[in-house]
Amino acid sequence: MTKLTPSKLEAKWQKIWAAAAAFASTHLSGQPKYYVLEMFPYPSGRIHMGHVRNYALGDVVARFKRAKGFNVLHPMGWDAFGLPAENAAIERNVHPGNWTIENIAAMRAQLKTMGLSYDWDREIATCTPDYYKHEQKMFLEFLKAGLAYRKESWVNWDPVENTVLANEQVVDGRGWRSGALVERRKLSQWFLAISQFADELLSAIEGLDRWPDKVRLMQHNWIGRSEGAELRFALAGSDDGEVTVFTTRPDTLYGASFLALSPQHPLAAKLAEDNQGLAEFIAECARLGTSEAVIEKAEKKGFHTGLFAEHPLIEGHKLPVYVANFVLMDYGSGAVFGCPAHDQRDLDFANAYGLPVIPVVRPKDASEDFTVSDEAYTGPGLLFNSGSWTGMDVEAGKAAAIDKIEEIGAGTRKTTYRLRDWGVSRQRYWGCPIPIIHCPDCGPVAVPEEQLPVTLPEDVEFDSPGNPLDRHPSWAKVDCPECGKAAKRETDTFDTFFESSWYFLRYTDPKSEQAFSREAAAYWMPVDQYIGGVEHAVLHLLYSRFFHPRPVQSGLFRAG
Amino acid sequence: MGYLELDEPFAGLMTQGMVCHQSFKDNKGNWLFPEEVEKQGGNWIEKKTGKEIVAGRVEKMSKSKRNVVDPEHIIQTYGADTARLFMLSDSPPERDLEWTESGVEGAHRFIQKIWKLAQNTKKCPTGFELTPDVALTPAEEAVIRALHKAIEDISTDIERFAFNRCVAHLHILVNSLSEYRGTDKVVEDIFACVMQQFAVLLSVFSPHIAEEIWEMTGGTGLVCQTSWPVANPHWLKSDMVEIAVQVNGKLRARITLPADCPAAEAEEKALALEGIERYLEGTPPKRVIVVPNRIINVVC
Repeated sequence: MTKLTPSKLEAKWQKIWAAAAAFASTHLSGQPKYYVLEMFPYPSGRIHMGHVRNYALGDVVARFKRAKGFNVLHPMGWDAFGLPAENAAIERNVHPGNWTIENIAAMRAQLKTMGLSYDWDREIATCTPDYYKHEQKMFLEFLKAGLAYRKESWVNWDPVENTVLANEQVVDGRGWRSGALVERRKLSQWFLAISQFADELLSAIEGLDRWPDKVRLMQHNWIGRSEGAELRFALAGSDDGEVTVFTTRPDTLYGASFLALSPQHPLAAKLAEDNQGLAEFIAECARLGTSEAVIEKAEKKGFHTGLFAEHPLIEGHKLPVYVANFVLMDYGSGAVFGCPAHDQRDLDFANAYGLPVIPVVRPKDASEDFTVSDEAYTGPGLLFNSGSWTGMDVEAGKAAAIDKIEEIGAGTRKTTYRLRDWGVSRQRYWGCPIPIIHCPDCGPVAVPEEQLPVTLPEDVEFDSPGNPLDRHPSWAKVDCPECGKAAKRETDTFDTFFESSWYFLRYTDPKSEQAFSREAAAYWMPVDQYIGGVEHAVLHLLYSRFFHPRPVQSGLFRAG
Repeated sequence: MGYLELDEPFAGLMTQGMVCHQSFKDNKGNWLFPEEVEKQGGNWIEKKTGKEIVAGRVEKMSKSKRNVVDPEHIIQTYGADTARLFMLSDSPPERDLEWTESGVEGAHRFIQKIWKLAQNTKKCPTGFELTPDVALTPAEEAVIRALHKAIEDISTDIERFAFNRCVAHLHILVNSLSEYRGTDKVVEDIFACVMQQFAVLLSVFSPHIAEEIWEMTGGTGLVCQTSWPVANPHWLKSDMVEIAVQVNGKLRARITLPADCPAAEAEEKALALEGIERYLEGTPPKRVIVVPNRIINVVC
């Protein structure tokens, strides 16, 4: 019997497949198409078992669909920008580009031993100017369309890596890689206006019937649409002072016992100017970072400002105004009214600070002496202790409350979203340069199209912390394209999620002069089967969903 | 902006589970690689020192906990066909998968069994077709049925991502082929043709060895460019079914009959069962109710 020597036998067939171009594909085909895609890897240097599983699964689908008569697109490439390359540069004194290219070569060789049926002619690496030049154009188109803008915003600052971290990169208040305690800082950054599309992104989830329910739910929750009211509380002893709060439970207004401001609320900052204790409390909160998960878990703490707000419905009823660590500035209006009986967070806070707990919703079968001690009642039921709303159920109560608030001029109906605009600036070298020039007179100016792409300088040093682009002696020094005066290049680069938000389009025609060709994208898109880890179930998929309709439907990116 | 309809980029999404492995720590709390440890008499020890160590939880492979297995090493040792097959065989794709040495070895044994079975297989004659009107021995019929059952089951399960079940169907077919190989009179043409179709089924999971078998059995071109086989309903239909036999409504025996077996034949065979005969005590039953493929109730 011939002995089985897998390495020999497998190499033999891999060579035969390659010679026969057995897995090549073209959009110029009369067959029905099938696009199967595995989430492309970061070129860390070696494949791991998670990759093997992911690609083995995808290859079953690709080979099966091919056998069933489909024209199959099954590509592979590299999500090649990112932090590890810079860390390697710092630790091993190698250039991030060379490190990345070598890793790609090593991993490509490893993947080839797996016998995966990829069309290797379509391989892309997102760190090449051939790839990233297209996203510089996209960004400028976003800018023209008013979908990219610059804003001062609170960020998680990693003091060791000297960079901004996404909320997801903050784990228990520390940087996910450095482990350093994260600080809050204000920084001027570029944003993409994804939140303008919150409703469309939300409603289209319904049509994604071949997505796992859990992922659809995660997308749904991430967008986080809530219906409610914006409500103004006048400050007692002040003629024009007021605090605006957002609430999804206006029906519990009669149960309000305090107001809480975010530590970043402008009023909190103003009060802290003359209040040392408050200033210290705000600084303490800043060390929590901006991660909601961390804030959620932290012990509820507050600081009484000394101010009181007037209850809009109960004459003479005054509510103490606190600054509290659990209120998020970028959700709603950065202030809430606390109704301890019907919100666990508010209850924990009230119990810690000895504030009244006034139940105003009781379960249908409970009597009017229903009380709440350690566990807030958040279920359905009937309103009581609530003036003319008494006896209504929660939904009717909400409607009546909003009507009343609008009638007395204390507020308006409002829908808010948890989804924030996407901050795309990163203070890093190994990413796609943001094609902007900052002029002292003209402000931020787009790099003219004929000067694109803006490529990364090769001669950079990683011997001190921070962004090497900032320290480069000449790269950032340019003239303003508008007035000609000495100006400075933007030294931030894009969040690497930018690259992965459209790579599936590039695969459809990876050698196109344009980002992709309309004809090829129209034939191959959508991806029929996407396979990857659930860790990308929120951001990557959401950003891709945000990008996709714009290039294809609006012609924003002038596909050829 | 007014984009009324969002054209979604990903029509279908599958999120696969993690690959996990048990983690190990020495008594100083240092993590150990799986290849540094072994089990001796029910206890885990460090190979180098012989000292007892702490075997921890099965959790996601991570460099920091050293509970990793290097794919390159696995592919060099066992081959990609084995590594891929094991990845697909143990858990449904959306669930976590525990990487175990015994699991990989199991997959490797299966690949070797296939290899051994395929040795000296003849070429399948061109145009060879097993039509229902050809007279076949029970052994021949069994292996042909097994092939078509596998085609049918794998085609269904693959569309549902139940790849682990697909691998189980491959096992059943290979067992059937082995059994047939072990019979006295193997018709080499039948064996070769079933083997050739099996190669197509195998090719989406372990493609290299599948190409080899395809070539061995005289397949045209490459198996990766061959059409997926279609199950012949004739070979699926009359599978055997197990039927409950009751006496006065109480379960007394079970009988395996061909599916859609005529009622008279089913009645006759049921009454002849030892477990049923003794209830009749020699007198013919009052009535026999036959629900085809389900139940036979003897009233006496």
